[in-house]
Amino acid sequence: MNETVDQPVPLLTLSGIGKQYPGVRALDDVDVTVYAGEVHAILGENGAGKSTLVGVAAGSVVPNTGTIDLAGETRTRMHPRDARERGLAIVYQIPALAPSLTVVDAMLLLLPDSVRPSRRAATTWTAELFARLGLDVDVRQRVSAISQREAHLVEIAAALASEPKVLVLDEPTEALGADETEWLFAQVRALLAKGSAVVYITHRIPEVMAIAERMTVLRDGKVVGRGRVSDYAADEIVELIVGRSLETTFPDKATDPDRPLVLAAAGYSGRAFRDVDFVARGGEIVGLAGVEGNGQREFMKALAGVVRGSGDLRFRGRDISGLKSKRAAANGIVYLPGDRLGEAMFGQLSVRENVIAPNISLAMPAGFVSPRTESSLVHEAMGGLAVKTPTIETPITSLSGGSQQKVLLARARLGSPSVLLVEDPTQGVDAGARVEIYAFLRAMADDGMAVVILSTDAVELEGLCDRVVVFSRGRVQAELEGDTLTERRITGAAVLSTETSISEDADAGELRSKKGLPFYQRGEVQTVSLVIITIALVFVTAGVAPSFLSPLSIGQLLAAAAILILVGLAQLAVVITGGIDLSIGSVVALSAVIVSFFGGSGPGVLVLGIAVAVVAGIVVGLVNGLLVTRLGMPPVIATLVSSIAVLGTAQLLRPQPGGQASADLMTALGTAVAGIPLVLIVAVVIAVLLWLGLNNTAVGRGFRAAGSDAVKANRMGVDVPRMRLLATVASGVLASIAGVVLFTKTGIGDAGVGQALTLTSVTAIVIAGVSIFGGSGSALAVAAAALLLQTITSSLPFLDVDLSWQYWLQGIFVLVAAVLPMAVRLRRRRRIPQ
Amino acid sequence: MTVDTPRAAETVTGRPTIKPVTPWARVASWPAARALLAVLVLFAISPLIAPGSVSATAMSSMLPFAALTAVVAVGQTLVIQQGGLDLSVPGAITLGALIVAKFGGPDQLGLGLAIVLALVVPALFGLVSGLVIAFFGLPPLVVTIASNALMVGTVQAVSGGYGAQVVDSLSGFSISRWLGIPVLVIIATIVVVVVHVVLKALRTGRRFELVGANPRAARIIGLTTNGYVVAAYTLSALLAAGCGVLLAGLLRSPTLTAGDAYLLPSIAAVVLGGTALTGGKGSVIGTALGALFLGQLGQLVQTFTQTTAAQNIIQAVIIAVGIVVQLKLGGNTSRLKAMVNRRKTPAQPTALNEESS
Repeated sequence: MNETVDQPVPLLTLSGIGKQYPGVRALDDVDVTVYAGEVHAILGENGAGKSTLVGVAAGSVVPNTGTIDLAGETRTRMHPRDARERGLAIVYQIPALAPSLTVVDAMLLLLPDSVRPSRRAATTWTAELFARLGLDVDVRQRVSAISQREAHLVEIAAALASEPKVLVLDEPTEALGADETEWLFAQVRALLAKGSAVVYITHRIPEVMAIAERMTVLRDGKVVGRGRVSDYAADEIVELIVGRSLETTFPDKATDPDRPLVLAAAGYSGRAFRDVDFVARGGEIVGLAGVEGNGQREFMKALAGVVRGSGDLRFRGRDISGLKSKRAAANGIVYLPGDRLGEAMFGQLSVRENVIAPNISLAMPAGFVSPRTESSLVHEAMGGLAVKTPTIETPITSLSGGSQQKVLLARARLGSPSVLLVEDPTQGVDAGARVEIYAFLRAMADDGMAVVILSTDAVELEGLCDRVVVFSRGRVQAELEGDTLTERRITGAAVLSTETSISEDADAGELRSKKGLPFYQRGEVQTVSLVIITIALVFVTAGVAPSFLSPLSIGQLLAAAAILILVGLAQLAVVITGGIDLSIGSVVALSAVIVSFFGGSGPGVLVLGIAVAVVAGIVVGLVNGLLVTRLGMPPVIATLVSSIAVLGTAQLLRPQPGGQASADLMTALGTAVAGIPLVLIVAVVIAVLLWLGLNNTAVGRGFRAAGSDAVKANRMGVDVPRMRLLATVASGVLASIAGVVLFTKTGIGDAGVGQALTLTSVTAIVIAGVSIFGGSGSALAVAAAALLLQTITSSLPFLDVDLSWQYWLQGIFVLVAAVLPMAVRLRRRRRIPQ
Repeated sequence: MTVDTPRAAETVTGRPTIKPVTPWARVASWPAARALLAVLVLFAISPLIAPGSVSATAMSSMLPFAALTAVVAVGQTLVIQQGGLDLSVPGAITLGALIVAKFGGPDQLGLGLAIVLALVVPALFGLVSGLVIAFFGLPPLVVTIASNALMVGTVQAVSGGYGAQVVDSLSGFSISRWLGIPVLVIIATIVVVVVHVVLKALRTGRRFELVGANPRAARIIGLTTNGYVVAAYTLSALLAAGCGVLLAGLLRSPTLTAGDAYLLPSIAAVVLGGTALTGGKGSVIGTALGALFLGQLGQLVQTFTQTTAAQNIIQAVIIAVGIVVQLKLGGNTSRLKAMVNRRKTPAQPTALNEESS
């Protein structure tokens, strides 16, 4: 801690940082100072708080206490965009790139203003940057189509290109091979030479010794050691990180050599692993190891029947290949996923319900709930596990990570399984509970169970397991036992041949048949096909009833299409940011009613009316947006409520349809240019503008990123709530314009029309291939879909088809258009590469 | 890489005790407790705001409609428990109402067969929604919007664009009383109690809640999740259709938009009743109380204005406030407790911190 010697300039200072998550104190009064020209290593075990700490510095995590000093400015919270503009660049452990963006889009969002190229030049600029850095990544590709490793390299490239004062690297070498690690270190040294600082998170001690100047060691969210790396020996650093004696931590290993074979896989293959031979015997603990993304996780899931595998799999000699979860559970194969909140726990349910969940038949043998039986079973299961919970009715999410894991282990034990598969058994678990979990797992094995654990912590694997199977590129690279089972050998085998990881191979065959975007995503294929279908329909209808092509009929069709285009675009704006707007129909009605009060006299008054209508649309959009972003209401419910209120307002203004527009005005508004109504031209112009805006502007990228993945978008520096608010306001404006157009068509203000337009707006975007989960969609395709829908509606009377078909076709269209891409994706997911 | 340090491994001294649950805590954590409180408060202040709003006549005009809302909302609860939302409720109600009105006459199918048809046809649409949602993983919103369109189309086809008159026996039944209680209230009560018992006292109900709380985790422990999802949408459509049949009797000549007024109340009743929109645990008794609250609220608003439009606006605003309050309080009482205890304890929860070190 002698920081007075050749004292350099501090670039980033975190003081007194505390962060509380439900059930976990992630950071507690942490101080870190990062100096210019130095690599500062942040060390600690999984769950020690390293990533949370750098998240605080980069703005993706808001701390409860403490201050952040960056570029001479002190603040209590950072916003990702501000951090970036002030010279802090971060590369996350899991790449934070919104999946529906292209690589170029992502680069544009990640770069600070000072270095960002123009949209026009960006593709070339990025390609040149990648060439300079020696990266082989297609810049026009979507993020969802590149591998995790490539996404990682893109993030590193963006960070380097932004010429940062402080570069934060979170476990950067996990996903990289040896050459790439060397390359990265060279880049880091070049940056240091320019006077920048690097914050380096890792748990690989040799890398720290090689590159870091200073270090801060975290354990359970607290600083337990800091200083110059050169003052410590490697073993001392390990001791600081682990904070305990390894020998007393781990229980004794199994001694009984007579172990029955329980689970055996031979030549087992799946999506991310191939030809795996594996056995698990009763009474032993087997470890699965490997660098992240090398198939070990998928293999464990396949043993649990959660993902599909093919080949020979036997349970006590019986063939169980092609296993599914249900059959696994019936055979006593129990799997505890590492993603506790997402896949293992029933978060909002109580400790009792979580323990009983997989043991319902045990707790309710006759089919009826018995609170007394449940209570005694829960106490029996948790006996000896020291779960810290006030009562067994406490929601499991309010427990600490260690207690949560103990509840899950208790629940697994209750069914007396034969195989226990545990993924990351001690992730997010504090040191004390860890010891108990190790002892518990060993006790399970001693009872004759076959225990398989997957861990990223080689020390844990060495200490706990009787045997460790190391995966590399989806295959078994080594099997270590007895004296060969050491942390060094595990890590050594894992990184020995990881130049490319399997996930890339698997993705390659599936998503990258050729460079660039796949055919159906390229350009405006959807738009063109919708236009072709429309034209075909026009020909068919005209063939049956030639009067369909009369100027009057076509003019009416096109004018009505303008309304559908506008409401479709309104829905697109909201859906692309990940929301939905059910108030569109009501806003259309309100706007038409408002304008109807201004239609009786001259054009000046009408313009005023349009302005008032648009303002009303803005107000509704603002209310919707604020309900969603500020009050946390789900978009459906917020817009449903406002829809009722807005419709009520329209009905109050015009209880009966009325407000005849003057004849002159109607003629003027009905103007057509070369047979095309003015209103359609307006609508198409708006569609083109929206298309350009979504594709080429910063706000457009923000919209798409927010809808694609809100968390990643936030990390990329997108203000997600602002994007959602902007989208609902845009929707309000577009819907109110649609209302004005509706008025110009009929000349009457009627609160009763417009409700059906909400449905049509959803139909239009679904048919247009807009992702209903948000993130992508083309305004041009929406316009084409709206045109098609109106053509269908208009041609029905000519084809002498019942009105009910108008609804049936819409419903069928939505279902078919929505199911098709899903069905394709499902098929693709089911396919196993051979 | 074994390191020996004098520091002994942390061992747990003294087992943490797990306290039994007190009856008071059991009541306080009941999700419907807040809805019950809201209903009691509303009925207590009703006579102060509008004398006569709790009179026998007022009750007998309000309760049948609240009962209908409750029936639909129970179906909506099941769907919301599965993390979804059923926007096809209006279509199902209208379709049920129109089928029974159109085919219920003695010279058509007869009332019995018409009722069966009025229940089965919408339920089949619900089944289709459920299948598409469960097996293709499509957003419930989009699917139920589509199935609503399909049902509205069917309404058009069945009715030819015009409403129809129901047979007298059905309308007589809908307005009849049993021991002085409107028969619709009795039916709604039976529906609520049956669903409640199935959910809370049977193995199936527990599994249903587990699947709703976390479908991925449920699948991993070996539950077949799709069946529960499909059942939720089918039952929701079935209950909405049942509501439609009874509503047809109440209105005598149902219109083509008879069901539209029930969508928002069905969702609002669920939220007010304490079922989380994120799915999982639910309380149909809470939902029924929510429906009762909305019914009485409508009654109160009516005493101030006879205009439907104004009633809609006021109700929408109050529902929005209610939903926001319910969402802000969260799915359990811990937030509420924290609000009360904040003054007593320091701002930072230090207890947890000590626990994990």
